[in-house]
Amino acid sequence: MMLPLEGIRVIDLGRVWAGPLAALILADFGAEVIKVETMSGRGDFTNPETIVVEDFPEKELGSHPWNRSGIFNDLNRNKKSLTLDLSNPAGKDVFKKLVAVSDVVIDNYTPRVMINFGLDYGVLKAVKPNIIMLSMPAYGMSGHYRDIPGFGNTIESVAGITNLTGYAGEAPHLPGMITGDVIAALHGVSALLVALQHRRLTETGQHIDLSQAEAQTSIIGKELIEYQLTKQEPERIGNNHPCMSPHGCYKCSGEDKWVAIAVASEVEWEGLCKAMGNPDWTNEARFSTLTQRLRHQKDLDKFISKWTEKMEHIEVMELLQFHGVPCGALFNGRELLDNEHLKQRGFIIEIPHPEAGVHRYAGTPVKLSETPAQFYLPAPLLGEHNQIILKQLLNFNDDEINELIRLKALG
Amino acid sequence: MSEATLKNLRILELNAGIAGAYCAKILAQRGAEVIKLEAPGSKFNGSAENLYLDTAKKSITINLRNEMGIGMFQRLVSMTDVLIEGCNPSEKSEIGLDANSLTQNNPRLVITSVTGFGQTGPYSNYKDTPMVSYAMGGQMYLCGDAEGTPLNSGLAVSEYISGLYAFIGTLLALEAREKNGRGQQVDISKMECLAASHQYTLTWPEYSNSILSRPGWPGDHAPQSLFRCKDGYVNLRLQNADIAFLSYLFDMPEVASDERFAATHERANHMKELEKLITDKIINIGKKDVFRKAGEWREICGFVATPADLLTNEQYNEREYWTKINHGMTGVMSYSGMPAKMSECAWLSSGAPLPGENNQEIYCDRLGLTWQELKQMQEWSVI
Repeated sequence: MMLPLEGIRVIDLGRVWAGPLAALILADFGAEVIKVETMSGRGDFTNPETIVVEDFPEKELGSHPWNRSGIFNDLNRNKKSLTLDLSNPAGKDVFKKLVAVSDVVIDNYTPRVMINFGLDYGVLKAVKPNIIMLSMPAYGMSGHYRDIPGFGNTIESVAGITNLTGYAGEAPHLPGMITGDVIAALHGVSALLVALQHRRLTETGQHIDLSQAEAQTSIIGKELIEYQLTKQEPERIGNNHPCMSPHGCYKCSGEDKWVAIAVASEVEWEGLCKAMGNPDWTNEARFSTLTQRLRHQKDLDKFISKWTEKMEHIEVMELLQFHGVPCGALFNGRELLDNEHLKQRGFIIEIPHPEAGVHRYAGTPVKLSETPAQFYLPAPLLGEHNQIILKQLLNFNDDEINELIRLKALG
Repeated sequence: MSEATLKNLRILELNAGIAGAYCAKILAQRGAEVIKLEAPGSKFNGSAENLYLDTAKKSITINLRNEMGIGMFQRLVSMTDVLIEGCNPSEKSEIGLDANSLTQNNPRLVITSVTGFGQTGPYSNYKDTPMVSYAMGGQMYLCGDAEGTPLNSGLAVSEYISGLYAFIGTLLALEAREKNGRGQQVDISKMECLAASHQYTLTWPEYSNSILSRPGWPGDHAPQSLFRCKDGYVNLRLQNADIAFLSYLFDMPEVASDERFAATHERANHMKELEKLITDKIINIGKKDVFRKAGEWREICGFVATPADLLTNEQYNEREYWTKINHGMTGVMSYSGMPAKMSECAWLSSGAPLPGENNQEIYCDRLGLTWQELKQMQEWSVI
């Protein structure tokens, strides 16, 4: 079965997360993705100032740490690697030759980087008129903030996301896992797929200017309309909910084990009472209606915690779901990898990597019935495909390749 | 700039939840005709959720518990490219929504299902809410204070990430249809969308037998947190702990030469002191002043924007991010626009429809019902 993006060639200049994730989604569905990397060794995850040893097999960096980072290997499966120095004229020439035979270029640098390389959209368009370029800087390609650097959760703050999360009555709270990069990558891929359709209809390429901040603000459009309707700044409400009760996170037996329970209707409340064995307190007037339960939420939470803390989180989840109550265990990373539901759906994948070993990863959440994603290639070693790309795709001979190496244009 | 690219696509949206509605909204704004199917008697509730999620859509009412309604639905499906729905398998069988029978009359149909846990597997009929999928996708375990109870996200993040994956899945299925002429099912699970939105969480157990836990983001060798300013909060991520920048920001030359903070390894031993210094001094500075100065120094920093800040933000205004929509029920308001500015593709914005607003257009002009038949259907509560 032909994958949807077979025949599309993508150059991935992405660093860290947002750019590489965008290219990963295209790679999983058949695009040929070539990472053009610097020769200095993937500083994103192997910078000595910020290195996270838990991200390496057995916490050992090894002699080639850039090939052993878990995050890198996770975000770059199914891709090829070409090491070029884009500040070197000969390196630039190779890059332009590659653009001439490609369909899409993705970068998430601040805007001045591609301009400084002399490789901005105008230049690439002259090389390949119907090229599609996705640029995804923190705040977009124009405006006052254009050159301000950003990182996932600082962009989330400016985009209005941080302000909404926190314990009641306290300062805002940063999320544990940043989702800003993911939102930006997904908006980027969405626009790329529209641009590919547009190119099929009109033969023209284009430049996509994606502000990561604007991407994030688009997911709180509802809250911003609420503000305009009510003129009230949103309140942080911790684990409560304005119209569900009980709604919270409850301790279970075992170390750091929890469940989330969210009761939206009287039927679900009755289901919860039944699952708990209809203890007497559930008949008290202060818990008899939603309004009452919202008012006495703290007391209600205490009763529920007393019940959950004797049970395992999975057991509470299964029992409450059996009774029609929305409830979920708070899974940690290991529990997700071992989760039977995810396994049965083929979400957890296993990929052997020559320098990092055989490991399990999250697969793609895009499950297509007829043209499913394929996972066969591990993340590339740094510069692994230099020879094959230069020779087979760009028709360089050995002498020309050696000259590039001599000029320090190729790693 | 040409017309909106997806203008030849016809889409039906049924019980899609926030995630499916967001997916359909982006399709509509890129030009597709999205018809939202609503129960007869639905009233426009004026909620911010409907106002935002239903822009650029059409609405018809239809009763899917009535034979004639089901007949109308099947006729609509036979002339549609994509059905976006949010029913789990047991809800589907309740209303007789069966993928095989739908595709029998329309083999080119793409069915995009967005549910808590997907169409297969032991959890497929589990109930979900934004908090429940945030928990089961592994994100809630990481949010909150290290010693405290895990904390829910203040927004429905699982819904929006899933909505975007649903959009991508739908367009990939349409790409595949260009090649092989057939539709297919796109099965999106919110739990999986969140589980795929991690760094470290799933690789640590595999690579080094470690567990990432609250407060979540690892590996910082410099202060990285929210600090209270004169008028709100800033998010300082001084990864390289540029002490010279702090000395400039606080106008304290002595900080730049303070040996406790100069070298990375020394700084790690004096983190508390550094944090106290920042806490004590930054309270006197406005949040946007900190952000602006950090930007000049290329330090990574954000200010915590409130809705009022956002709606007047100079960067957003300069880039014309907001789109003004005049909705009959609310008057003019600013809506978040399309974040991806495409140089060649237009996008559409118009206010959310009232339930049934497009009944006549779809039932009479498209399906050929007469005015009398339309009235009759209303009387029989079919629409």
